[in-house]
Amino acid sequence: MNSSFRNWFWPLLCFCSMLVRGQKEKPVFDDDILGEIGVSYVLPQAWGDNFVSKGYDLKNGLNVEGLVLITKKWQVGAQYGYFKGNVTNIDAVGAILSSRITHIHAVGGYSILGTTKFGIRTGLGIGYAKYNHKQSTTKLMDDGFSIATNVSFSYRLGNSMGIYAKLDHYWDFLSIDTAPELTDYFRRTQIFALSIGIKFYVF
Amino acid sequence: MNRTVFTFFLGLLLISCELTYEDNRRLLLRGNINDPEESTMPDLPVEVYASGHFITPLFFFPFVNGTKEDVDLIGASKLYPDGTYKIVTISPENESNILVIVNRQGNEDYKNDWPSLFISGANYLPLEDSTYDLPQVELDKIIQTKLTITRQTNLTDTLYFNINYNSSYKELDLGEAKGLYHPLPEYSSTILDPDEDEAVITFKNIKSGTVRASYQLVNKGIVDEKIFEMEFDQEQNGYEFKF
Repeated sequence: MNSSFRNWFWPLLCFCSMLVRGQKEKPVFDDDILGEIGVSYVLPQAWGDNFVSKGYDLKNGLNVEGLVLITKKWQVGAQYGYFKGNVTNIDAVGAILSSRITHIHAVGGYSILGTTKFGIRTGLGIGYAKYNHKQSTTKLMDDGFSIATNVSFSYRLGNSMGIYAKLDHYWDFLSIDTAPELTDYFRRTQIFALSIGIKFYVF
Repeated sequence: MNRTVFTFFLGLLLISCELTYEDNRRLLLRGNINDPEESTMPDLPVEVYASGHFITPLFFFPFVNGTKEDVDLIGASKLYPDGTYKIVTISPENESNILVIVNRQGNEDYKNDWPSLFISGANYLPLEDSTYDLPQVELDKIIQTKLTITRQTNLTDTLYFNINYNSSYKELDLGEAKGLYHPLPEYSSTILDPDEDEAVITFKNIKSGTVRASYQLVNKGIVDEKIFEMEFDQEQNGYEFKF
């Protein structure tokens, strides 16, 4: 297991358990949820024939999402996520040292399964992707349109707090101008991002 | 602060002091390097550098501090067995030169039986579809060769014989000073006294590479002297001079 993940995850789990213990012995779960705010730790993995998959060692990152429940089944909101990556194969990317990849999406979600404590959801996001690159001393960036699909599993530990795991699939359509034979390779990237975090419920 | 002074200093601050790169752009540099006697090429490392001259960080007095050259690696790859190369690079926007270096000494994949090749001025080529198509270049291996000097007709004079050659690199300029250069930085010499019939100089050189020779025949003063380029003899696998 990644050491930075360990350093982050176990203190978070202790924090959550302390919060839950601080609540009533038998928590009452209020079903009238207005919204949710989630913060999670992201473990990204690129795949496919594109420059991120072929040239990067992606590092872990952070994802923040806020959702408003418009009905019991449907939610809308936004999510922001970022992670970093070091270039391991200069042949595939060009002379870039490292990059910070940021996504911002407007998201809509649907509850496939929802009980008082458990929830399984799927979602779709439409938004913007930005790749900030660091060359030796200067910076450059790529950006473009992005689509995110996700499925998430949540578990309420208490009335106002829970934990969740989410798998995002980012499809980025970057506006990179390059040789025709490299167009798809640079313009379309696909990244899976597994995230684990805590969720706060607002009533 | 006076507006004019402020504008002046702001303008100086905005002057670029280093190479910068275009957003949302990648270049492709491709070309071909072949050895006339080999059907396949080794996987020589190929690197692309951008360079430019910029005023120094003490930019307020560029005329005092002069300029400094900023050089950045912008892409790298290797030769394919058929001698072609394709290098993806980031796109410099204020460079004065784009330099392709094949088999650079110091690169971890450097092969010491092949010379380095410097192709400068790639940015002077037309950029079509974000692609620079570089011309084909012939590159021969480095071989151990020899120059045989034989005394045949002149039996009285002392021969002072010098050669200049290059066993390490080749240069091609695609820019304003177009052309292929044969710098000859290495040097060797021998003396053949009247009582000696033959002398041999062994040296490493790029196969079929240029060897520039100069000699003096001395007998109580210079009798004859000449500078000329020697032709590689395939059969002898070397160079020959008879006098």
